[in-house]
Amino acid sequence: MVKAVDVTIAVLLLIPLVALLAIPTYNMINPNLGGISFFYWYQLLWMPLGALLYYIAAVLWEKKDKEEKKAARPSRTSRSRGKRRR
Amino acid sequence: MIDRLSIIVFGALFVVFVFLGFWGARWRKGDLTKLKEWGLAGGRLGTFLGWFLLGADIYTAYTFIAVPSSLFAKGAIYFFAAPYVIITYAFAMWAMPKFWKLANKHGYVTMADFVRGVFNSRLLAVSIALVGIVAELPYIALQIVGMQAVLIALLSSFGAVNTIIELSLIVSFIILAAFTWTSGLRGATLAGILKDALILVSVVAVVIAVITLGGFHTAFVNASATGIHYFTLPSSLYNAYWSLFVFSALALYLYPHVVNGTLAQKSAQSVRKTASLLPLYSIGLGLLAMFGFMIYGVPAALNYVKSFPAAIQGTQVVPGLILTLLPSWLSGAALLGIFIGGLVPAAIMAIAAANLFTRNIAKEIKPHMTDKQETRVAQVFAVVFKFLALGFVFIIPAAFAIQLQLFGGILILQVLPAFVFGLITKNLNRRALFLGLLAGVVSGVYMMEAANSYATWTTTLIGTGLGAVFIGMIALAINIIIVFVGTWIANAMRVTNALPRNVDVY
Repeated sequence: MVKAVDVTIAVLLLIPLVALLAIPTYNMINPNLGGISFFYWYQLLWMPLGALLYYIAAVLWEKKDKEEKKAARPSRTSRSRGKRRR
Repeated sequence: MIDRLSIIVFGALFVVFVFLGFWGARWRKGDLTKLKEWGLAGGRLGTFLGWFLLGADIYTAYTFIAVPSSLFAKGAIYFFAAPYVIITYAFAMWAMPKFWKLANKHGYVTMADFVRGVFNSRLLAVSIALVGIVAELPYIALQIVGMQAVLIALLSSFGAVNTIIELSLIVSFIILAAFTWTSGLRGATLAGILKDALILVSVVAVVIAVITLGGFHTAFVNASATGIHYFTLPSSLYNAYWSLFVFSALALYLYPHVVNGTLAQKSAQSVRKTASLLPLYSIGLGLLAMFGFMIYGVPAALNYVKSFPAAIQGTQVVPGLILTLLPSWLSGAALLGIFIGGLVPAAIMAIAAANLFTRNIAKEIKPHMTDKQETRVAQVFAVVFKFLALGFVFIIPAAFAIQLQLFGGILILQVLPAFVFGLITKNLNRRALFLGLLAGVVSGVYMMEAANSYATWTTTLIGTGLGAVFIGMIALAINIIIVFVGTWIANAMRVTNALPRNVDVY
């Protein structure tokens, strides 16, 4: 089953890719930033933005993993025959 | 500016660097006779230190020599390095924590270990190890080209002849070899922090200097006059641009040194968090890439660069801007940052190649090595690989070394099917994977030759019906098709990977 959190993570990871694949939308000189063409500063801008989106995704992912682990943790009876070492 | 003070600062900081390198052996002390301790820093690095270690894989001579040099020579197309070092981390966040968990569970130290575990094939594991080592060597050679560029910048203004430059290169290599031997990946991580701090400060200083000079407008006018497309991409190169950045992004985490950096971390979560924050590191790369056209805004720097033979002009772009714009003490510090920015990655890469060699090639020949013997073999081969790369640099011209490194990217991309599909399924045929790898490598070499008209390699793009595209993408496509068709045929013939059915590879 696909959960909302999985979709959110996937979208967060894909936004920078889509923004950077759309080359014709940013391949221009203006608006320039102090002489640096849009082509350059747009892509530079995606570095901090990308880090932000990715970090949010990483935090969501960590939470998700923890919850799944909790849900998967077997009850006392099943643990005794499980192969989990930890 | 460069004067005696720059040399003194350079020398003093080099001493600090050497100290950090050797002190790394004592830091968080582990038993360095074990391969996991020496080659993976014990696998205990958290998000913060992991970030610095992996950052060392970004701030390499690729960043401050290859990219600015190529951008200077060929224009905006080489800014593909910027989107590349953003989206590669999205891929890493998905693939590498999975890989870390499996490696941790089954005791894998290399990617070839993992492939052998999943597909039960020694042939495939050995081939992947070989491809990894071969792809790593030109990357190491590129680091040496970077170090050489710094020594040229530092010493040639004093009229030093080539022999002195070559001699100092060899001396710094011996120091590097010694500290890799004694402290392994720990020393490299600690030294990496110093290096990154120096580079970041100097990059920001240069950019501020160019802005205050009004250099970007001058750069725009002067660079436009050259006829090279510096400020936007010609529409004929769109396919080249995305194929370069997407497939370079997929290649980065396949390199043995990056795999090593991943396994050196303490948990799958810290692997993912580290990756998520690494695009911040890329800002430095993006700014350095722009030095390739910024130099047109600083006539003194441009004259400096043009005073060198055409073949090494590109490698002097970043040192040139540093020398002309920064005060002498800061240029000394900045040049040292770039110098150890080649040295540290060279150490990390040699360690990774040596790990691969020991685990997946030497062990095949001599299976019953003790921990101590294993580490000794790795230490010896780390030195061998470094000097092999040093040999490369004395034989081939600098401009060619850069292309060789890009070719390494095409090669390493061919291990992607076994690795990435291996994270998801073990139901691919091992012989099909081997044939795919072989076809990818052979077609990659053939297309490099064809695209460069069988002469010196100057491009990794090949003309197709869609315009120029990255050769790595086509070679990988051929590889993947063979893997799937081969697996389909094998299934039809009921050939399996001969793994006992109940073996749990995940």
